Amino acid sequence: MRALVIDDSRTMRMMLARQLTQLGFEVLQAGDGREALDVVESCGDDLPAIATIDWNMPVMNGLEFVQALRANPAWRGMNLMMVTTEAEQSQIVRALAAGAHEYLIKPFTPDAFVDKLDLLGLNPVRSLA
Amino acid sequence: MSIDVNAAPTGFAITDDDLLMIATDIWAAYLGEEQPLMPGDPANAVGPGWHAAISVHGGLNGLIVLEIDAAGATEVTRTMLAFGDEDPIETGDIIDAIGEMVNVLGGNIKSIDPDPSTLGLPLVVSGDVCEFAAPDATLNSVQNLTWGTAAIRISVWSGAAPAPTPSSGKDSLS
Repeated sequence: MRALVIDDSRTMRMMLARQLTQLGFEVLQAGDGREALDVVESCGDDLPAIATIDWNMPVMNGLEFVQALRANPAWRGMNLMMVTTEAEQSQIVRALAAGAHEYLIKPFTPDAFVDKLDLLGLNPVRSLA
Repeated sequence: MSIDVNAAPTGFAITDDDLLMIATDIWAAYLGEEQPLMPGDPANAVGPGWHAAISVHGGLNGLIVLEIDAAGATEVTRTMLAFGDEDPIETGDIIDAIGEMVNVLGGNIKSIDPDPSTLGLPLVVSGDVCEFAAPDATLNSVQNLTWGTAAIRISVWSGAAPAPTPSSGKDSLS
């Protein structure tokens, strides 16, 4: 199962990628929304099961990425989780309205991240248990 | 804006206690709870190290600044990246890790303000003195902290929303 981590911080990408790898995901990474769209395009039919998406990024921000992804019917099967410092209710509503499935506010603990994956039915470890 | 350690806090968009709670939560989430972030002595200057800033525009206009000494910045980076003691820490690693810390600080600080606001992208510089260009900024809240042996200072500056342009420093990101 593939996961795509989108964040302009390499540190945050590595933190999330490490945890996803431990859970058994093959992890792809992108530093902004535009780069992430290119990654998704290159995946063909083998789309990531989930994308974790930072909000504030250069070039194309996370909300714009969600909107662009949802505009393509072929990509509607991807689960989208915002992972961001944007904690205001209005921002959460905007992201969910645009098509994000889950919303995780930074900072988060590893357990909180796994809990969100559980909510999406995307915890391979738990699925095998 | 030159950081004046003797400046008295003014304004109440965020209290010092709020700032301490936010900072300790972030440190615990990303760096673990074995070595908590603790209140430090305001008389102890951070000294040469890394200085990160992120601007906020909207309900709260201003700048959030994170200062951390060089050894502390390296240790924060090593812990966030889960690098071993022998793994080399590059300058770019520190810039990215400290930038992410100030980014998360900024997001959480702005979220307690009732009016929506927008976060800029982080700027990180190294050097002896923390100095960001922010004319007319007023110190709103400050915390002097320690993490292990590292000296850390977090300050919130309100006023005219500054562009996060360094007026000193040799490395930057943003």
